[in-house]
Amino acid sequence: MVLVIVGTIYLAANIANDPSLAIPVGLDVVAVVLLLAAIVVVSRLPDFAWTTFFIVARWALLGYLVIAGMIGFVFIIDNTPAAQLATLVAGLAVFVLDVTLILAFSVARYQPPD
Amino acid sequence: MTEVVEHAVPAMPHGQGPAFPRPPATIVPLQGLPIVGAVAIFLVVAIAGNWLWALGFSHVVGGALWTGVDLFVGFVVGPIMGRMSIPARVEFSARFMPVMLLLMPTLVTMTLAPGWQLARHLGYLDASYPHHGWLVASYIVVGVMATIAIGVLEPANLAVLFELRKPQPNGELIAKLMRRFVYTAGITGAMQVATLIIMTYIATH
Repeated sequence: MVLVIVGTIYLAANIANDPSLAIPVGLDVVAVVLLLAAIVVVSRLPDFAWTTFFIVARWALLGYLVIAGMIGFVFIIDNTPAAQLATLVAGLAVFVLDVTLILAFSVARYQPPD
Repeated sequence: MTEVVEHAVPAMPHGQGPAFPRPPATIVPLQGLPIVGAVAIFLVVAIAGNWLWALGFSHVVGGALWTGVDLFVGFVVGPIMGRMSIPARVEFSARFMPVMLLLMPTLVTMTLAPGWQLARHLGYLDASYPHHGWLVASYIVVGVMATIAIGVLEPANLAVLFELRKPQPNGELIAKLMRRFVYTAGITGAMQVATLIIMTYIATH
């Protein structure tokens, strides 16, 4: 999440100047790798409260999709160049999935396993 | 001799701790969803229509409420709660936290999306804007607040609400999770003060 936020701040700070996308794309890639690693680790947990996990994940995903959708809508309305838009949307996607994972895991870890 | 009448504290049956208040029936207050929906529609209309007044209204009202609620909760409600009895503290949190779950993301979205559009309209996004550095500082402040709120506080908020639904909530766990709010109040408070300084500077220069 932090990596995506840093990349987005860099892009937002330079968006009017056609910035190089190397930094935000690089950060997005590392963020994706870390997110996938987290998903793999969580999915292999034995005796976990998966029912609670998916209940929280569903609602968190819905809520943050609305928020990310609003932010993405702003960038689309602004005719953001395609490459920058793709980088921002990728970052938003990672952000939404990451937050969903954080919230769902944080609740389920303290609940009795299924 | 003055007789002091003490109310006897009823002995708890063996194995039972103090009674924990139950949070409302739903974690997310469903009656608040229509309001959130109306705000979302208003934002979409304002952004799609480049409606400058509506963008300004959303950004200023959303930002003022976000900052105000954060500072009030961090520096007024928090210390007061710290002096309340444990049952009173938990009862307040059980009713307060679901509202915050819906309120804060709505205020943040209401602030940031129109804020970006306003900055674009006013030319603040250009690197040539003389106070561009202040704008970038505001991005960093928001980034720090987002990390703390989403990564630390919201998970704790949800975990406490779910814990309170158990037949025998773990009081130690609830206390441990709620301590996050105390530890981070200083950071989020400082970030909100920084936001006030930055925004008022940009508005007046």
